[in-house]
Amino acid sequence: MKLKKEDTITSFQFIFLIIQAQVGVGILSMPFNIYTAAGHDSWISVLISGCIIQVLLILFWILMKRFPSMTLYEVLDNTTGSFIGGGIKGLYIIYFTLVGSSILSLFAEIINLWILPLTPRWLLIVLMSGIGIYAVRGPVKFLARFYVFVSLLLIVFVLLVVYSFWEVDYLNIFPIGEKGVMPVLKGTEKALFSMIGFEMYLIMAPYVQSTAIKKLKSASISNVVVTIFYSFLTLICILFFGIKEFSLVPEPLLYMIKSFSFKVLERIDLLFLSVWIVSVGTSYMAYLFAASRGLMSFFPKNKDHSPYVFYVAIVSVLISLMPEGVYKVGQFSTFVTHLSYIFVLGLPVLLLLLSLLTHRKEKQQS
Amino acid sequence: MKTLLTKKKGLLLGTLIVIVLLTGCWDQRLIKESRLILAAGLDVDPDGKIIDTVVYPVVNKGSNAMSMVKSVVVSSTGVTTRDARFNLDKKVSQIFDASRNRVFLFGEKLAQKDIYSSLDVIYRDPRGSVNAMVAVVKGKAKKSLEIQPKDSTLLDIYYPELLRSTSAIGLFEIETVQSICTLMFDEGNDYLLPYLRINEQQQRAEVIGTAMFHKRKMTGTLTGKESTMLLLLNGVKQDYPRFTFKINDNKDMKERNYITVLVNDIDRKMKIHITPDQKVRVNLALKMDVNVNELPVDHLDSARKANQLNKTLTREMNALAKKTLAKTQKANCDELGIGKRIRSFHYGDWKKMNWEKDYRNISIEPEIKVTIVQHGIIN
Repeated sequence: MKLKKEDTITSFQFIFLIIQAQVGVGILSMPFNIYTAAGHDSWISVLISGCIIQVLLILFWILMKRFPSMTLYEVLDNTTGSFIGGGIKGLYIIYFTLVGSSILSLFAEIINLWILPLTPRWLLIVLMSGIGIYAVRGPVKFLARFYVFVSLLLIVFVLLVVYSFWEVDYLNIFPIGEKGVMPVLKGTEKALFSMIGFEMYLIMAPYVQSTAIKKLKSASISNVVVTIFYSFLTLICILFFGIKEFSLVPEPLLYMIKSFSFKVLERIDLLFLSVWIVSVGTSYMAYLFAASRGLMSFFPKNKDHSPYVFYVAIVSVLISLMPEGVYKVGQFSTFVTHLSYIFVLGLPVLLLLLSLLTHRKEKQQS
Repeated sequence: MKTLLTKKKGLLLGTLIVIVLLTGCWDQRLIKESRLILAAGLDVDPDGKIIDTVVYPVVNKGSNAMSMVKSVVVSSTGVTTRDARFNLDKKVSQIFDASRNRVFLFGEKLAQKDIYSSLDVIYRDPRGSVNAMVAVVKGKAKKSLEIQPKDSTLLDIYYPELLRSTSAIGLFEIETVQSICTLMFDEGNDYLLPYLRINEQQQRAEVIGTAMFHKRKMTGTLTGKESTMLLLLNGVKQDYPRFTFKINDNKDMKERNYITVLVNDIDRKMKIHITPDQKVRVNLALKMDVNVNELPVDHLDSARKANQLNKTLTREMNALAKKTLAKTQKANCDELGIGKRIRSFHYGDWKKMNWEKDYRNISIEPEIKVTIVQHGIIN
C-alpha cells in the first residue's frame, strides 16, 4: 500500500516533529522523577539515556530503511503476516491511545492543581482533545508546519528557566557520583521514559521526503537537542533546590519559576504553564495521529487517516477520565510508561531481528 | 463549493459560541471580591497556638472625591497557620487572598520553635506567596503590624522598603519564603534573617541586626555590626556596608574618637584544611578596600597616616570577625556554608563527621586586611 504522494514533510520539519513529540507533559515532573532515583547526579542519567535513545534510533533507522515507504503498521503486516501483524497492530493502537489518555490525564491534573482548581477536569480534557482532533485531521504536513511554528515557544521556555541561573548554588551538584553507578542507571531508566516520543520515527519516517541518511540525521539532531535540553533543565533544578528540598517538589520546574517575580510580571508560572500547554498539545497530537494512522492501516481502501481521528480521540478522552486524584493518575501513567518497554524497546527490536533473519525488504519499485 | 461555504460558516458560528461560553466561569477571582493580604505576622501564644495577624488595604471613599487607602489589621488564633487564617475569614467580610503577600514577620518565640511548620501552608499552595520577604521581630509580630509609621500609611509598603534599604547598607541579604526553604533543608548551610525591634514611642520598626537560624529554628542573634561583618566574610558585598570603629580614647570630645569607613570592594578566599582525623581548620582571607567616610580627629594628608590607620582598622576588623564567628559557632549557624563545602569537596571526610556537633568545634581563622583607597573629597 502506498501513501498519498502529496502528503510529505521535509527532513527539517521532521526534526521538530520528533522534538515536539518528545517534549510534553512529562517535562514538569521529569527532573523530580529522575531525582528520586539518581539524586543530584540526575543530569548524568539524562545524558546516558540520550545515548541509549540514539542507539535505538539507529536500530529504528535500519528497520525503516528496509521499508522506505511504509510505516510501522505496514512493516508489521509485511514481516509477521496479516494475522499476527494485525494483532500487534491492534496492540500498538491501544498503546498509542493509552499514552494519549495518560497525557490528557496528567495535563488535567496539573492544570487543576496549579491554575484552575474549580474548573472541571472533563472540560480541560475535552478542550485539549478538541484541539487535537482539529490539528490531526488534516494532512501530516499541516501538523508538521504547526510543530515547527510552535517550536519558537520552546525558546520562551528556555529563557524562563535560564533566569534561575541568578539564584542557584553551584555547590549543589557536588560531590559528583556520590552514590555510585547503580542510582545513576536507575535514573537513566526514568529519564528514558520521560523522553519517550522518539518512537514517532517508526510512524513518521515514510512521510519524510528525503534520503534515508538524512532522516537519521534529523532524528539524531532532535535527540541531541532534547537530551541537552532535558539535562539542562534537570541540572538547573538540582542547582536551585539542593539536595533535601528537591524531594518535596514533584513539579520542580514550575515551583522554581513560581518563586521568581519581575517588576511588571508576577506569577510567571502561569506564563510558563501556557507555553507548556502547547507542548502537551503537540505530544497528544502525535499520539492521536499514530493511533488513527494505525486504524487506517486496517482499511486498505482508505488512504486518509482523518476519519479515524475522532474515534481515537473519544476513546482517549473516556479513558483519561477514569483515573481521578493525584495517586490514581500517577499509577495510570506509570502503567503506561511500563508498557513502553514492550512497544518502544521490545517489539521494534524484535521486528528488526525478524526482518533481518527472514531477509524481508520492501520490493523496490521499478 | 456551496456545502464547503456553509461548513465554514457553521464552524465560525461554533467557534463564536465556544468563545462566549469559555469566559472562565469557574476560576475567576475578582479583586473587588477579595481581601488582599499584603503583610502577615505570626506568633505563638503560651498554649502553643498560632496567632495570625494580617494587614489588608481598604479603600474609603472620601468626601471630596478623594479616596483614602488605609491599612486594616486583624488577628486571630488557631491551632495551625491555616486554622488561624480560617478563623480570620469568619470575622472579615469577603474572602482573604494571601497570594500577594509581601512580607512575613515572625515573632521571636515562634521563630525559636520552628518556622517551617508555619510556612508549610504557603509552600503547599500553588498561589502561595513564596517570594514574600521574611523577618523576625523581637517580641510579638502582632505589635509590629499595629504601629503606624509616618514614612508610609501602608505597612505593606513600609516593611519591604525598610528591609530593602537596610539590606543595601549591608546588614543582611534579603531572604524570601522560597530561598529559606532551600536553606532549611540544606545540610551545612544556614541563613540569617533580619531582626527587628518595634519602637512604640516613635511608632517605627528598627532593624537591630540579624537572627541566626539553624535548620528550622532561630538559635541566636547578631548585632548590626556583626551582621555586616559576617556578610562580608561570606563574600557578599551589598551597596553600602559601613563600619564605625573607635580609634582613640583620650579626647574630651567623644566624637573625635571614631572613624567610619565604607567598604568599597572585597576579595574573599576560603580555604578548608582537614586533617586525617577530621580536624577542620578554615582559613578566611578577606581583603577589603575601604573609603573613609568620617574622620573628625585627623587628616589623611600622607600615605604614612593612611598606613597607620590601615593597621588599626585591620586589627579592629579581625577582632570583630573573631567575635562574630564565635557567635555563629555558638548558635550552630553555619552561615558561611563551610559544611556544604566539605560535603561537596571532601565527601569522604564529611561522611565521618557529624556537622550538627562538629561545626561548634572547628577552628575558623579570619585574616582580614584593610586598605584605605579613598578618603572623600577632602584629605
